[in-house]
This record gives sequence, structure tokens and C-alpha cells, in this order.
Amino acid sequence: MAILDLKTWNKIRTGIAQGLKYERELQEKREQKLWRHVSGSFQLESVLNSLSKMELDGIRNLN
Amino acid sequence: MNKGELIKELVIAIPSHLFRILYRIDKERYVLIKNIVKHSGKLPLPRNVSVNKVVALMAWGVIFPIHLEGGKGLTVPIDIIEQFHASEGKELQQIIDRNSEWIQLTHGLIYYHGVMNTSLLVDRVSDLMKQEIDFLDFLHVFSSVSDYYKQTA
Repeated sequence: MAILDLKTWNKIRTGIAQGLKYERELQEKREQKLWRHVSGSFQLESVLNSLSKMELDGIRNLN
Repeated sequence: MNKGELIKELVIAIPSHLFRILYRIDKERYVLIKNIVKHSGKLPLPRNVSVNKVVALMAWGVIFPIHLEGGKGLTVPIDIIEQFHASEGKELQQIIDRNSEWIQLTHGLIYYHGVMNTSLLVDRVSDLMKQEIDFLDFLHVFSSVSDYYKQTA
């Protein structure tokens, strides 16, 4: 079994750390988008208006 | 169907199908809806509700994530609250209790056996509860619960 030299090992560690950081940032962006500003009264129509077409399709398919 | 048409359809469909939607949930989600309704339809995000659960709730069409006084919150729209009050009663409570028991027994059986054939699972739950189980009802409850609990962060 080949043993990794220190330089390669550090490159792998940096790559993994960057990948995890990117994944965390993506997750945070996804979470931020989840919380909607709803204007006016909290009628079903106003709430649904704040959702994307894809999210509305998802609700329609589940119901 | 464009977005406007879809919204028009859902504004009618969700309240009119609410009882059927509630028919598939367990105690945790029922208590959450009741709590939001009790607070006039808006509640700061409870600590035990993870982002993954919020995504599942939104897809369900009854509880939605909103910005609330600068923080994260959940809302049940006014038109659904009215329908929720009309749906509440002994029958719904019995169904919620039944669903919660199905879910607990299913967790236990899968924990014990690892993997189980669905019809065998339904038979075992039916034996343990000493009552007939409608296969389709069970599948609806099971599918709804697995969306909600699949990743509890």
C-alpha cells in the first residue's frame, strides 16, 4: 500500500475542508431562501404567492 | 398550468381536502398545528422543528415558513385555520392517536427486524393492535411520516 507524502496529504485535507465549507454555504443559502416575507394578511393566497412554481407543484402532487 | 392558475386551484383544494390531509398525520404535527392556531396562526419556530421538518411541512400545504418579527416563524393561513376548527373533534383525535400508535409500532418493528416487507409490517402492526388495518390508509400515513422524520437534524 502506497504511503501519502505530507504535501499530498495536505492537499487532500485542504480539498476536503473547502468542499465542506462550500456545502455549508450552499445549505445556509437554501435555508435563508426558505423563510418568506408575506405581505398583508396571512391568507392562503398571499402565502402561496411567496412560493416558487416548483414548490406549488410539490404541494399539488402531495395533495 | 401557470403559477396563477395553480394558486387558484390550491386555494380551493387545500382547505377542502384538509380533513383528508389531517387524517394522515401523527400527534407531533397535530400538536404543532394546534399550537400555531392557538397563537392566531403565527408562531416563532419551535426548537424541536428542524429545517428538514419545515421543508416537509411546507410541501404538505398547511404550515409555511415565514419571517416573523425579524426571526424565523411558522404560519397556518387564516382560511386553513377556519377549516381546521371545523375538522377538529373526537373522530380526528381518534385518527391521530391511531396514526401515532401505527408509527410507534412501525419504528419498533423496523428497529427489531431491520428490513420488513410492507404487507408483513401491516400484518404485524394489525396483530399487535388487535384491529384490522386498511392497507392504503397505512401507506398514506407511513409515506407522510417518512417525509417528515426522514432527517431529523
